[in-house]
Parts: sequence; C-alpha cells; structure tokens
Amino acid sequence: MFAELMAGFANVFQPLNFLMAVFGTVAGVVIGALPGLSGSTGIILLLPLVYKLDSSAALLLLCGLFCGSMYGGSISAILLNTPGTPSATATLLDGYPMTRNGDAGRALGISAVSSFIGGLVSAICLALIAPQLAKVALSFTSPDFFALSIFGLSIMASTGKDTVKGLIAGFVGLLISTVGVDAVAGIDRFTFGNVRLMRGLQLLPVLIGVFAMSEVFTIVQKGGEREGAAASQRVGRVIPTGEDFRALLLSAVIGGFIGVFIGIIPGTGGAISCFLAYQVVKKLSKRGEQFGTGIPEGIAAPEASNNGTTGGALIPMLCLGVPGDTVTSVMLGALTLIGLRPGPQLFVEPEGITVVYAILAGMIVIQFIMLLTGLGCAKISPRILRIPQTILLPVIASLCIVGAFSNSNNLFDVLIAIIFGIIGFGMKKFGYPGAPLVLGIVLGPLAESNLNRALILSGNSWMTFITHPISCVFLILSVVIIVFSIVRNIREKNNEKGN
Amino acid sequence: MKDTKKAADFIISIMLLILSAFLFLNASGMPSAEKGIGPGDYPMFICAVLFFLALLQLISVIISAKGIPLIDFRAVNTRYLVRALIMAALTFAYYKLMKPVGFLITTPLYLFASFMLFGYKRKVKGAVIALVFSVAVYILFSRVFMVFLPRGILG
Repeated sequence: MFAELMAGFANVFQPLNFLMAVFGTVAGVVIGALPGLSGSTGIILLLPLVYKLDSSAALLLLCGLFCGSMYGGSISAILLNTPGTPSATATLLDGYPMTRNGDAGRALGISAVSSFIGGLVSAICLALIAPQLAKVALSFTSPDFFALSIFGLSIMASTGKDTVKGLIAGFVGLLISTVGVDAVAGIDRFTFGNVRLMRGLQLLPVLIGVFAMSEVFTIVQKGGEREGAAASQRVGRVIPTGEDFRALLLSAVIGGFIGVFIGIIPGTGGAISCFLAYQVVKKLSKRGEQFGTGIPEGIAAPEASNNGTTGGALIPMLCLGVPGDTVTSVMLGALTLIGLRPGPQLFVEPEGITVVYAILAGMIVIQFIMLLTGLGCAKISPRILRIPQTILLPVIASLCIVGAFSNSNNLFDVLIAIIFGIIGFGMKKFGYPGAPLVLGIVLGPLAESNLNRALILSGNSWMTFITHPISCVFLILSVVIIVFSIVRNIREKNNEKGN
Repeated sequence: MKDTKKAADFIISIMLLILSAFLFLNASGMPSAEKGIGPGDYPMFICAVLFFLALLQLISVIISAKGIPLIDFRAVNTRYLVRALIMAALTFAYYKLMKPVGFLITTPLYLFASFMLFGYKRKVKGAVIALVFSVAVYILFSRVFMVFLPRGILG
C-alpha cells in the first residue's frame, strides 16, 4: 500500500494533475463563498472540462472543488453572517461575532487553518481506511451488491425531513434508469417510439438540470438574488497568532475526527457534522460559556469538521459505490461519466489503482493547496462576495445549457436539462430531495444487473438474498432505517402540531 | 405555505399513481425470461413500489388535511413565481433558437434579457459582459474542448 501511495504522490505532482488540483481548489473556494451555490453546482459546471481530462486529473479537480467549497462556505458565514454552503452554518455562530469585533482577518485565518487540520485528518483516515474496507468489499457477491444498492438508496432517502418523499425521489430515479434499450435482451423500454430515448436519459443533462438549473430557478423564485453583498469589512492580519493556534488546535483535531465519522455514514454530511462538532467542543471546553461571542474554538470545531467529512464521505463512495453526501453523489455520477465504476474493483484493476491512489495522495496535497489559497485569498475575499447574483445566475444558466450540449453535441440533451431543471425546481420547492433521484439513476443499472445475476445463479430463488449474510444484513438495516425514520417523521409532525 | 405544499403533494401523488400504473402496464407487455429477470420485471417492480409510496403519501395528505381545502391557490406567492416562469420560458426560447440563429447571437441576447429581468441596472456594462462571456465560452469550447456549438446564420 505504501508503494502505491508513493506512486499516487508522483502522479499528483504531474504538471497537469497538479494544475487541476490547484484550479479545482481555488474554484471551489470561490463557488463555496458565493451564497446559494454549493459544491455540487460547482462540480456540475465543471463537468464539460472533466470529460476532456485524463481520469486522475479529472478526479483531482473534483476533489479540489469538494474540499475548496467546504472552506469557501465559511467566508460568507464570517463576513456576511450568511453561510455560503449549508456545511458552514455553524461557523457563523462565532465567525460573524469575531468580524463584528473588527477581527475579520483573524476569523478567516482560523477558519483556513482549522479546515486544513480537519481536511488533513480526514485525508489520512481515507488513505488508511479505504484500502482495508475495499479488501472486505471484494468478497461481496451479486446478492450483496444488490442489497447494498437498496441500502444506499434507503439511507439517502431517509435523511431528509420526509422519508416517503425521499423514497419517491429514489424510485423515480431507478425508473428513469430503465429508459432506453435494455442491456440484456435488447428490448426498448419506455421510449415510446422516440429514437433519441433509445440510449436512455443521459446522466449529465439530468445532473445539470436537477442540481444546477434548478438552483438558478429557485433563487429567482425566492427573489433572493442580490446586486452584490456589502462585504466591505477590512481584512487585517490573517495568519493566526501562537495563542490562537494553541486555542484552535485541539478543537480542530476533535472536529476533524467527528467530521470523518459523520462523513463515513452515507446520507449525512457537513451540515450535520458542523453542529455536532460545535456542541461537543463547547461541552469539552473550559470556556464553553464564551461560545457565540467570537472565540477561535467556535470557528475551529465546525470548520475542521465540515472539511473532515470530505475524506469520510469519499470512503463509502470509493469502496462501495455508495456516496456519503449530496456532493459525493454528484461525484459518483461524474465518475461513471468518465467511465469508472466506483466500488472495490477500483482497488484491484490497474487503471483503478492509479486513480484511487491519486485520490488518496491528492486529498493530502489538496489540503496544503487549500491552506495556501485560504490564507492567500483572505484579503481579497470580500471582493468575491461583491459579484452580483443578477449577473451570476444567467451566466450559470447559460453554462448549464452549454454543458448539457457538450454531452454529445446534441440539443436534445439541452431540452432534457431544462425539463429536469423545472422538475428539480418543483422538487426543491415541495420538499423532494434531489440526491436520492440521482443516486437512483446511478445505482439503477447496477441494482438491475446484480439482481438478475443473483437470481440466475440461484435458480430464481429469492432466498439467496437472505441466505447470503452480508446481503441479509444490508436488507435488514435498510428496513430498520426506513421504519425508524418514518416513525421519527411522524413524531416530528405531531410535535409541530402540538406546538 | 404549508397549504401550497399539501396541495402540491396531493397533485403529485395522483400524477405518480397514474404514471406508475401506466408504466407498469406498459412494462407488463415486455417479454419475460426463464431464468433471472426479463426486461419488464425490474421496471414493474419499481412501478409497484412507486405506486405504493404515492398511495401512502396521498392517504397521509388526505388524513392530515382534515377538512381544510386541499387546493388553495391564494397561498401561492405569484410575484417571484412569475419571474421564475419567465426565466424558464427565456431558457426554452434560447434552446429553441440556438440551432437556427446560432450560439454567438442567442447567448448574448439571452444573458442581457436575463440581467434586465433580474433588475441589473447598468445596461452598457451588462451588454459588454454578455458579449465578452459568450465569445469567451465559444472559443473555449470550440478550441479547447472540441465542442462545436451551433453557428446558425453565422455558419
């Protein structure tokens, strides 16, 4: 493993690969800083570029964007009291008070260093855990993989406010994946005579529609676009003092580990871990009562934890093909678009090994790039926030159209992106999550082929899913998660009524 | 707001019930396999689960409504919704005109119209940004990514 990791580092420092890691990280910081734009939108806007790159360079670009956007979200949380991404929501609790005290630069510096520490903890955990988990997953058989797909969908569907809506989104995704010519029998499914539908609904335009176009429509509909934020705070000294560093170090390490743990659990992410880390560190700290007034620990814990989720979320995605959060579900889609199938096979196939170890080594290198970008850009970050959304949104919409067209030089894909943009807008408005839909589309063919193989090998016996212990455990877990979350939803609704 | 969501859930549930039943019937006409699953079995299974989920949601909406009218359009905030619809219509027109007229003409027009729709006040600056962005994207995609965007009447 050590030799492969060293080869991974050598791969990362290839000029193009390194350039893409830097570009992805910087773009991620900018996109994360802009309120309303998330890491998943950033990834989608860069997909046309990802297509044209070698797989290692493409993945380093995506990982850089993922990590950069996690840090970037804190910039607007600190300067504007508005989180750039949901993962930075807890950062504003102490970040903004510090800015109001005239220490915007100090807050940005603490955020950058803490993000670096959290990210580094997670990158090291990723490098240590992923290859071991992949070894276990290599023993999975087709019933296990089918059950794993169901498990992934169940857990992704059950993390929202309404599990039934999550499941509906997931099953609509599975249904969408069946459109086109069936891979085994060559029969047309749900094409209704339309020749363009024979190759199925392509993932890229669907992703562009559900995650990027819909975001534009949503901001427009809310009337939330602004002429450019009045972030005119002067940013003073950015690099933390020795005293600040001592104050943040332990909180950042704890936050980092909490982030890794939360990130590994599929369906969770930075938005959950940031609050958990904030609460844990507040309880452990000697000056817990000062949290919320602008102290370094209050910024360090959530910022380290949301970057901690990055490596954590990549573990189930790379080893099992089940993403840890929304951004990794979009990354999973991006991986399939460049011809890679995430899962344990990635760790044994020659091309897979190159790519996987480039990611494992790249995630460590990216943390250093992110630290330098964060500290270097802090002084100019108020200017990033002055980009008016009145200009930005139409530009994004136009990039979505071009991105969809570039999928196969075909205007039909543009139409699909617009239609799914409207569908995604409706889904957001009425509480249907987008991530299970995309996961359904990505996992659909995998679930079908493994179900088919499992039934052929067992002579059409459905008992095969129960007699295989791993498959049985995943199916039981799926049922438990769904029942538990539906009961939780009902209780929450009753509590709301009671109030 | 909650009433709008309930009305939407009600309509969506009914649409999903119809869609899943229709697609189930469509898939049931596909050939079956002796071993494993045939091309229709997997979509039929998905449609059946989707039908069940939609039914569950419909029942839950009807129970929770308890006499409140399910569809109350007064609750819909139309001001920004109209703008979102105009944005969607503009995007659709952009898609329709891109091939016959060309990317380099439709894109600046689409961008400029959207800037104005959102209330961007500096017209000259807006026009310059729209034009520069369109040309830059065209060059980037045609020279670097080898994606040839429609040239339309300029071709």
